Amino acid sequence: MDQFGDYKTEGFFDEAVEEEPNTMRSGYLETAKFFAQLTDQRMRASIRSLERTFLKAGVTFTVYSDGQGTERIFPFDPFPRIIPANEWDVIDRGLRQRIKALNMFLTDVYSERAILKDGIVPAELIKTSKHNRAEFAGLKVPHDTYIHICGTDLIRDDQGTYCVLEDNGRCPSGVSYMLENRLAMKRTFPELYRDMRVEPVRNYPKELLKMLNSVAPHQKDNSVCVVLTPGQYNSAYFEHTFLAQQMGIEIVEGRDLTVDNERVYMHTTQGLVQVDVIYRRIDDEYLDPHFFKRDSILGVPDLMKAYRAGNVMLVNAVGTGVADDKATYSYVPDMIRYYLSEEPILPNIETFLGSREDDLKYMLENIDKIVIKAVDEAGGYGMLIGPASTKAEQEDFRAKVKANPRGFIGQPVISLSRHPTFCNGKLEGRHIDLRPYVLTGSETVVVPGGLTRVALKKGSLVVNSSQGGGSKDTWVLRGKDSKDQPS
Amino acid sequence: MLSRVAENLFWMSRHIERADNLARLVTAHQSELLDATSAPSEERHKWHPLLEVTQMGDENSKEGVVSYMVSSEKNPDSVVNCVFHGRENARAVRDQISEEMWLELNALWLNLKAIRPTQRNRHDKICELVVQSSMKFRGIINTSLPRTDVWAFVQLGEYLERADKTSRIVDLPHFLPKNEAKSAWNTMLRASSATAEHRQRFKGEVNATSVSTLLLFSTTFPRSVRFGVNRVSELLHTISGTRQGDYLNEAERAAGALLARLNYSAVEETTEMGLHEYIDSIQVDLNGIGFALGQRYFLLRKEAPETNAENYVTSRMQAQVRMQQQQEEEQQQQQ
Repeated sequence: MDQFGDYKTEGFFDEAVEEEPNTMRSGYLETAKFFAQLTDQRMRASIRSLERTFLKAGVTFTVYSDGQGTERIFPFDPFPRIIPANEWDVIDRGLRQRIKALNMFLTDVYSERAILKDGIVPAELIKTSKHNRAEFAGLKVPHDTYIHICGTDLIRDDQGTYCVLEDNGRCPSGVSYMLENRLAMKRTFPELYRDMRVEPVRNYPKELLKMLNSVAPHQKDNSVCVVLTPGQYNSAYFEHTFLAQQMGIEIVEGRDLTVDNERVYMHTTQGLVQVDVIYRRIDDEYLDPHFFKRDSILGVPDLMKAYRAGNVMLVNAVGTGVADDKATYSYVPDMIRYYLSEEPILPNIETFLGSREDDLKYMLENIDKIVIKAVDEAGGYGMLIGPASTKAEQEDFRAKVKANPRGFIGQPVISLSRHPTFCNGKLEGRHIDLRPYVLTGSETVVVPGGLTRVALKKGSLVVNSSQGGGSKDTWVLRGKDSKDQPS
Repeated sequence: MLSRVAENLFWMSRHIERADNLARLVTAHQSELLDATSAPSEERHKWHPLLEVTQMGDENSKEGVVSYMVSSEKNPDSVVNCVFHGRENARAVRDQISEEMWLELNALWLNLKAIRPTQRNRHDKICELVVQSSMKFRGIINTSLPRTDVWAFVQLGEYLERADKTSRIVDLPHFLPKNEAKSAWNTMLRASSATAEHRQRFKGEVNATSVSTLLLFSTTFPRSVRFGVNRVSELLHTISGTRQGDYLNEAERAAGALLARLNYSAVEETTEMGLHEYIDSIQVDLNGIGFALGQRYFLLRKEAPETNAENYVTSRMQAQVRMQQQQEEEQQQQQ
């Protein structure tokens, strides 16, 4: 079938099709041919089988609008996003450079504070960051790694340049979709997958466990690592159990843990067992009701005492939020220059800070043209897309920004790149982003691939699953010199 | 194993067994009613004994007793709700059970959800699905789950619930008018898949003594109360590593004591004491085992011990609601 029939790039940067002349980009020709030779019937059957696979395996997120909760699958588009080896090489080097600088920054901020004293990053900005944990200054963490798991959001601008949109260094989610999407694609289109020579992603759980072990407080042969989940009502709960299962470690809730004599134990049917490393999928504030939010029932009383005593390691470490504050984000290129004496490989998006007088003036004057974001929110909350907003929404944000300039940033509206996506049996361009995952313990591992999110609504720039977003498998192609091993 | 994991495994198994037993009872009763000669207007009245024997309270709403027992969302112990809770328990321990176990429960739930409220014979369909799937589920457990403590807690939930439900089924005649007791025996045998076994052992003579002998005291019939309590006692001893006959905790003591009673009871005792009273006393003992088991293996240190089983359940439910609220709140931070 001819799904590309009257496909149009409409002036956007398209991942698959070059506008002039109208040809396929590297890596996409074979894939387009493959889908073209499939009959409509096989295509429909494949899509149905993919959806059934996800639903049956319970790869779902839950919407609690009725008492029993409705489970939805994260919509999946079968046309894979393809990244040639040379492009991935740039991303890989850029991510390594960035995570190195971010971890050096966090180590510095919680010890010497050299970058603040040298005036590269304003001390005031750090002091006022909501996620700054000054109480933990001076606490040494293994390998000086604070952000062990980073889910950097990358987008491509209208020139096709990969830019960093957000660093997500607290508790990034979505990696289970990367793994499940791959399994589903391999099962449904094995012949295409084999012919394309794709880098495998299945080592992620193994690398994750290796990393967790590498940051255990008292290095021993059999450290006890656990995944700490808020519980089964969290929409990412499937991911928490999935990762625990893949690593073969326990998944615990706060109420399964207890702290005694500055050590953390889990409560088992055979008594208490000491825990060394906690991969926590709970935000800082909920970790310890004696230290942070008093009414937290998701956390563990006195967990911070054990952490401070160095008897347990938390992954990610406490206080990483100061680095993924959206105002701090704008200084990451400066950090790279300061700590590494290198130029950033992956550029930032131009960012205006409410805390800078000129920027603030610009933000308020252009509120209808730019994107305004709260610095300490995630998941699409606290955001205004100027051109798509009403006058009332703009006034609301104008008041908010005026009341708390430090709390907001502005960015130009970036027209994310588009990718051919199946819409009612035909291919149409839809906006996408990319979230690769970076693991850092004693060393850094970048998994070749990631989660490509796609805004399924025509024209929409919002890729979040709660607002009509879906995902695609992400295929990083093997380079010419890479070993041709089956995966 | 985490205490919370043990608790979820136990309740996963127990909820599915509960759904299965109730579905069997409804199906068997339905079938007996078809042979009854009474007018359809009395139908509601005919179903009431089932409500009483399963202690589901009094239901007089429009939707009717069958609907209340099988598919109602308002009834926490309806067949559909039990499957829902069993699947939620399974989801909480997905990393501990075999993939096939999860797929079976998930498929059952999705199939139940797919039955339209307007469908004809919808309750028959639900009961049939649940009974079939529950048998498959036990088969999957048997062939895919390693014989560790995971398996032991799953089995505990199954046998404790089945012993309880079989004892309730035997109590059915107590809630019926005298002239209908005889048809209840057929219901009881059918609900317990015991018709064939009974025929072989008692050559077709169905009476209170023969049914009680089989369903309460048989050592070989796998749905009998004695068989179940024997398994419960064995499993408790396996988990703690204690020899049968000794006991290390209250759950083992209570199970051992009830088993001894059943071992040395003659069926005459039930007629002397009154069958209903005898079954009542067994149910008190079964509840005692369940409660002691929870105290020993599930109760987390941080929670204040509750003085009785009922408070314990209520406070756990309240804690659950608070937990759910806060998890949704925390989610706002999700990246």
